[in-house]
Amino acid sequence: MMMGSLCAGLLTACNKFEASPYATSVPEMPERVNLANIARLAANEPNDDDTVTIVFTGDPQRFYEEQEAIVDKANSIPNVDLFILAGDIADFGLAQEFLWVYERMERLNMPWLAVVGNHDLQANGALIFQQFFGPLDLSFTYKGYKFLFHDTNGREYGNNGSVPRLDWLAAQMDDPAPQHFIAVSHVPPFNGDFDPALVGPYTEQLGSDERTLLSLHGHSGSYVDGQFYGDHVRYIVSNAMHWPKFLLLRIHDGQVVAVEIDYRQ
Amino acid sequence: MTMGHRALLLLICAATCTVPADAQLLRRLLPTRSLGTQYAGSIGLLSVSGMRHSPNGSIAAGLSFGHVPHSHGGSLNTWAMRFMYTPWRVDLNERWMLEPLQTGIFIAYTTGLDLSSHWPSHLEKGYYWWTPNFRQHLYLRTQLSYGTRAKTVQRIAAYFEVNTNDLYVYSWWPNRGAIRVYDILFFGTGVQVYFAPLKPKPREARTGTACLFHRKASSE
Repeated sequence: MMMGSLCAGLLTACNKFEASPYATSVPEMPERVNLANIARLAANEPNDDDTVTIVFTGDPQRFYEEQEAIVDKANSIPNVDLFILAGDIADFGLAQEFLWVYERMERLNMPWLAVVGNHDLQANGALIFQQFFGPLDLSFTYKGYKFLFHDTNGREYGNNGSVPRLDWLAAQMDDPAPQHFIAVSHVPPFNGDFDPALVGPYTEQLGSDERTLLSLHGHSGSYVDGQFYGDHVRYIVSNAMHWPKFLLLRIHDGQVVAVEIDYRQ
Repeated sequence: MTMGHRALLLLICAATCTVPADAQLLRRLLPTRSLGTQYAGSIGLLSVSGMRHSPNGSIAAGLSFGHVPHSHGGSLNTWAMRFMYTPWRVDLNERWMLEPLQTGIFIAYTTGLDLSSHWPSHLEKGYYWWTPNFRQHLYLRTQLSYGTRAKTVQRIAAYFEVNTNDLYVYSWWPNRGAIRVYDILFFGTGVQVYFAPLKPKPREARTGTACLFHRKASSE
């Protein structure tokens, strides 16, 4: 027992030998956390409950105290299926920052997923994010809802027309199986950091299918909820984590109820 | 010659020779030279360094080059400029000497993978406030030396170092309830070989461009 703690202590100390703050891998760094959580979610999928309950917040970068409070509060809510972080896990794109958020998110008693934010792409962050969480664009279906996590940080690519990847989005939506689509990305199309040339095609793509229910975002920092493009798609922007409220989304039979919850109470 | 070889050559030059104009000043202010190698410490998985030290050893400055291989999250190269202050020394016996605390800053410039020294033009000026690949580090070191009594190599030292950088401190400060100081400290360890101090050259022995320059200046 004593030897065990001594070894664990030494191992922790060994992990403190940092080669570079910019290195794309650090000791104890997990791999493809999003994919592991999708597997966890699939394993949890019940047959008798068709309500999807999501804790939704964003921009945890450099708000570790607040994150701990949110995790505690989320754990106290019954029957949450999934916790979604709407991007900007790191502020400076450093592996250590991803690890600090991960360590706190792992205290959740539910699966959690993160989408890539513009700050996550700084320094070697794009490489780290893909090792840490998995592909920048990924999809999965849960209880008949197909979630489309994707990169919309167009400004980081010089607004060169490549991001968001419309071909990927169209291919994912060309799927007859799901009852609904829920898009999840960091920069909303009505923000200046979204590639301006792609706002039209992107919102048309989402709106072209009656099954698109929600487009969930972060980035701009405060709660926004509305339909902005003359179609049925509801765009919701989460509060940033320094704001003392997160969103609880209850989705049943294509109806979405969004409630703000104060994590200090 | 590989990048690593070129860097090593440059470091050895920096540590052992200078342009003659600065040589006399350096000989007087920082007469002791040392060469070292370090494991980790945020400036490469492995790095080599050259330093110059003041006569009483309290002030030092130097340059290092470190590399992070692909297997450890690279490939990255880091140049670091280091300033060090050693407030006191403890002679343990005739041979062994302890420098319980050495401190200072190093400024690290890292290249490789997606790193760039400037923000791309498509970002408005000031969109991100920090410098992308220059980090300022604070460090504390403890060093143990063994005196050799040899003519050239004065002493051989081993040290252990903890450091943190500006972005880690910036992350920790508003989160002191969640992130411990220990969480932002990272370790390095190394050995440093100290050479016998250079003696000031007698005036008449001075040669080189600096002396030529002075002669020309005094004749005018």
